[in-house]
Amino acid sequence: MVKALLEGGADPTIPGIGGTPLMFAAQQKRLPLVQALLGAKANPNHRLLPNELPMLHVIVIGCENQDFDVSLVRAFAAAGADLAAKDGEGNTARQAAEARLDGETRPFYKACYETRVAALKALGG
Amino acid sequence: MQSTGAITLTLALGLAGLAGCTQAGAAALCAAITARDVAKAEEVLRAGPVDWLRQQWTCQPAKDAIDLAGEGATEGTQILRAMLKAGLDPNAAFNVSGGGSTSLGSSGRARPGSGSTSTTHSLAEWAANYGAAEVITALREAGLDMKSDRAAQVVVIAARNGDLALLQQVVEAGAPVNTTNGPTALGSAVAERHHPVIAYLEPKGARESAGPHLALFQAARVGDVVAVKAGLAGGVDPNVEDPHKDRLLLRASAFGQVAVVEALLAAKADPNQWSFGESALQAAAKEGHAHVIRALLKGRAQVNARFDDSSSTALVVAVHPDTSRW
Repeated sequence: MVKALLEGGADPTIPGIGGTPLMFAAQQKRLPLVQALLGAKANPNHRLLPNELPMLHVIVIGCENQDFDVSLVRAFAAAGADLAAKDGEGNTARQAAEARLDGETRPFYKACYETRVAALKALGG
Repeated sequence: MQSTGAITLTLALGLAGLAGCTQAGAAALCAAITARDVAKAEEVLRAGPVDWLRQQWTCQPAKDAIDLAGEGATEGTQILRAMLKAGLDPNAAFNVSGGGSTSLGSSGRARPGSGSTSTTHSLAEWAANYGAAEVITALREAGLDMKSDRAAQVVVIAARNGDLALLQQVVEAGAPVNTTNGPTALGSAVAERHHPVIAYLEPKGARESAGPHLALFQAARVGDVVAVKAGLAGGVDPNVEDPHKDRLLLRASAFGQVAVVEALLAAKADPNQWSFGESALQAAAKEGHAHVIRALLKGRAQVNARFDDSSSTALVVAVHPDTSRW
């Protein structure tokens, strides 16, 4: 369905109620959809509002679903996500993950943030 | 549906039956409802019936108890049961001023009739708007007339909201699946695309809402392209609306009827028409019909169209269907 729309010229950079298609696809952790949207020139650096987090930050700090998968991080980086982009506190995505890691005692979250920091380091972030 | 005169009479009789009721009693009951204090409510009611239907300032006991139940608090139902035991008529109706209940379907698409400044509701209708099945049960056990037009309205509300559990409860208790006027349960379910509700109602003889082009809209929904073409050949405008203000192209698109979509486009239906802030392309995207999307795009539907700058494109809807809400 998304394929039919993209083939018909749908513009993935146009935001809708509450976000962009890429943002929703990333939230849903639908990697093939994310890749299709990025392939159709969806903007991996889009911020819906000036003070809103870059999408990469949202992905990196999102460990709520017990998900160690870093494929979304890699997909965003491969599509040109700015690894040096900063959040409102002046942190890059990697620094944001490191900040979460600092003092984290819960084993799962600790492992999750460590995985993400390592992935971003490997990507040059 | 009960006539306005009959409602007025019901209210008048109800109020006459409460002669001598104190305003203080209603206020005390409302205070108990606000505090979720069942024991206090029962204590107030032991002193005799109160004026439980009429709104006085911000106090309207029967409605307030249902509101509380609708918020998920069991105390609301318990207090309403106490009122029923103390003499509240389970078939009573009451007026709500300043907005009344919403007529939004669960899809969020606004329907005609919303925003009224003064509306009359039966207790059961008000509870049905919340999906408060336990309140409906309490009303039934207290003698709610399941054969009345008001009960049929409960069926309509449950169908419109896609509340299959409540729908089954009231229909299996004898509520009519068809209304004598206004939007029907099946018509509302079709307009809101509640497929399980449609599947439940159709075998029970439920009818869609009456309208001049009912057969054509039914044909569009079920994919009877021969009937649609015959209607169009007979001179029906391909952009015609049904009583729910839906359009033929949206109906066919939402139900995945690609042959009907193609027939309508061939008959010069506007591929970019809107119904409640939704286009045919968005309807197809929301319901997951890729083949319809392709047919619409071939028929010159604008792929990036939005109803306004703050609404969603079909692509956004395809990724996140809830964003089709207007």
